[in-house]
Amino acid sequence: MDVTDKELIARYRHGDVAALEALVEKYRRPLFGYIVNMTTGQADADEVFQDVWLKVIRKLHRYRHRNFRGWLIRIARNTVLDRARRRPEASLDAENEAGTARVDALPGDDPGPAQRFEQAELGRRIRDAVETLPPEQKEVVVLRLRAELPFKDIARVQGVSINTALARMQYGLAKLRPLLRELC
Amino acid sequence: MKRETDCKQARGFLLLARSGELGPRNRARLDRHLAACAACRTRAAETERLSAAVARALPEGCPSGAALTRIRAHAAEQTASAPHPLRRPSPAWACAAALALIAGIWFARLPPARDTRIRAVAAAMAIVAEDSAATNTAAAASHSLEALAARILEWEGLEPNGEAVTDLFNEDASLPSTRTQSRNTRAFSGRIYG
Repeated sequence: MDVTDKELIARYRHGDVAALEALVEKYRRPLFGYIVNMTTGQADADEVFQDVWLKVIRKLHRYRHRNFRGWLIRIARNTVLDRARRRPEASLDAENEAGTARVDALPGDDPGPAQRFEQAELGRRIRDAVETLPPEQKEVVVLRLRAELPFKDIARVQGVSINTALARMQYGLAKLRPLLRELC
Repeated sequence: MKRETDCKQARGFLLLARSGELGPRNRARLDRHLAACAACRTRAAETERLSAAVARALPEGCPSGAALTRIRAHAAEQTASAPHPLRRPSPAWACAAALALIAGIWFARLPPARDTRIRAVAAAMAIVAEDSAATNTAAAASHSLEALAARILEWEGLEPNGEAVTDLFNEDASLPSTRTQSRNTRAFSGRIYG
């Protein structure tokens, strides 16, 4: 945990709600990025995101860790898993609302319609390919490339060694490698 | 065979280098390997492109305004409700309060001629307060408090677990209520009272 997180937590503990809002904003992208990829759409991700922060708020007075981001993602992972256990059919819905937002997120320096279509198509193919990965490999790919968690923390989140986390990433990327031909 | 082993290790190193987790020694080993291995250089470039493409393709999304509003409301509600765990005194503050109490008790018992010891205790208290505030941990606060009390007792010619200690601490009626304020103080008292 860097100094800023520590300071923000201390300020919230003393009643400064704005400090908590700053924490929410700081980790909004990596946390929601992880959640939206591991759930089934905006509404589902929204609920999980909210649940995670409510848990964080409840637990913050007992927080003694040094790595806030890792702690946050562990809470998110447990929340996602609990939810999947309660609603097993939800995890089978590969085509989700978030897919629409993903197409918009693809890069491009004001591409023309044809190029936009190609990029959108490639984005969809990559996402489909990621969805076909075994869950633990998909999770490593998402944690690394979307939540930007270091492998040390990914290993801790998954409860495996760092070598296992690295191997899962390598296997995952190996399965996506055929898409490289389309990236030229 | 050696080359295969190196290539396998280099693939792991490449990922760690990209995540900023590769130490300088292994970074140098990776650089040496890449300089000598064209296949791994190609693979490194591919991994870079693939990772960037996947990162772009994966949804980022954004939580709804309603979710953020509910989180904010819950946070405000938690801080507003009293008494709340978030507002419990930190170990450092509990330690400082206990120190003030102990010092008060002890000073009240001192005849005026004990200036030297008073100055010594004042200095020790400053150190303890600084230590507790800096670490802000229950263990450090408890340890510091215990160390100071031991010195006070030593100066008073008392043994840490003797009945005289109990008498010393029980002379002030406010001590029991103070002891309920902090686990550190309770732990400390438990050790002192044996």
